[in-house]
Amino acid sequence: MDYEINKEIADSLMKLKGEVRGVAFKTDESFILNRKGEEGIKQVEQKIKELGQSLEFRKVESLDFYPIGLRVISLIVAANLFKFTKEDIVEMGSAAPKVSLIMKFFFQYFLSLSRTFSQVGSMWEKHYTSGHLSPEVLDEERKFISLKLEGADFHPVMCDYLLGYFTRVIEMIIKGKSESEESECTFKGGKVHRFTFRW
Amino acid sequence: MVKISEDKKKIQVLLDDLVVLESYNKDLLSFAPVPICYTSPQGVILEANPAFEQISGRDAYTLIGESIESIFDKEPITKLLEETINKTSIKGREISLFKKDGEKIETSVLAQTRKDKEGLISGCFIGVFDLTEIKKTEKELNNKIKELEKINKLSIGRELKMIELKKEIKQLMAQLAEKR
Repeated sequence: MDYEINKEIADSLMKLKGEVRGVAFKTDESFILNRKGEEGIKQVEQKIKELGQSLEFRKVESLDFYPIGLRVISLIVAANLFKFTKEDIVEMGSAAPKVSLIMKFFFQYFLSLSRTFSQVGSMWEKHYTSGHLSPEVLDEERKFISLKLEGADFHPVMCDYLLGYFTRVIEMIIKGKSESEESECTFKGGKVHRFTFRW
Repeated sequence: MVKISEDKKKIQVLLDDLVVLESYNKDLLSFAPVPICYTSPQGVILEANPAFEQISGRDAYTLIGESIESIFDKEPITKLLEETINKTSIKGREISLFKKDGEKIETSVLAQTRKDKEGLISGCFIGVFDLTEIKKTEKELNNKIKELEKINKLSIGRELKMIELKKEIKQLMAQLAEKR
């Protein structure tokens, strides 16, 4: 995957409204370390510096807030540097709940789908200051879930990342694999981002 | 306005404390030589310490999100989880663990439920003791016992034979005396 990025685009991304908890950078750090080692981290940090921004993964505090734009830039940089495919980005998102400190706050709701489902809005708000994630459909009989994300039109790379993230959380509850897709996307003419899951 | 600023400060202090606590928690879990993991009530691994990574032959990345049944002998571990949820804790259940490469390890498993503030079971802590060395020693001891029993049997057999021979000699000497 090759996303267009240069100083101008990075500057405009930095103007995106909203902040994200440092935990998102921490989970990315963990994924890049796992795949590319310490050198991979250095490469991402260097490239971000060349774009006129600053990010040192080690210094990020999990619970502090950082500009959402920086989050998008770091994802794009990693994707371009390491030739990550869409599947890799989905996997990156999928790996995040495994090592996220904030997810640990939600372990107590993992006893049933309905309990977790009722918490998705809160899960989102614990990570992001803009956008709203709401549960739409939970049909345990038909094995179907639909989530709606509004006001979070950050960048298409985030859609793939979030798809992986939500899929993993659901799979951790259903104890199996699920087929997931972003069935509606604002970057593809949709009114909202809609993520659907079947298992 | 001043209040909001004070509240923000308080929240920041609490968040900083939380990060310190999390770091302490992580260090403690890393230090623990006993393999420990935490699962959802359905048995999905949500956390695992380095000792658990080592005994299972899988890294945390692979482990988290996996079913506990894919690590242990399926039937007994499912039963253990069910029983733990009913009884709160189970100690010393022998269950085989399978490393990623398929190697079988005999373990003793203990489990305890964790409850949320409403008293609902939110997960299970699972501790594992590697019985490999104990089983090895047990096997060696059993072999030694068997060997000793064999020697004992032989010794007793020899002793009985001696008694028999002595009886025979006595009888023969008596017969000889009669003939004289």
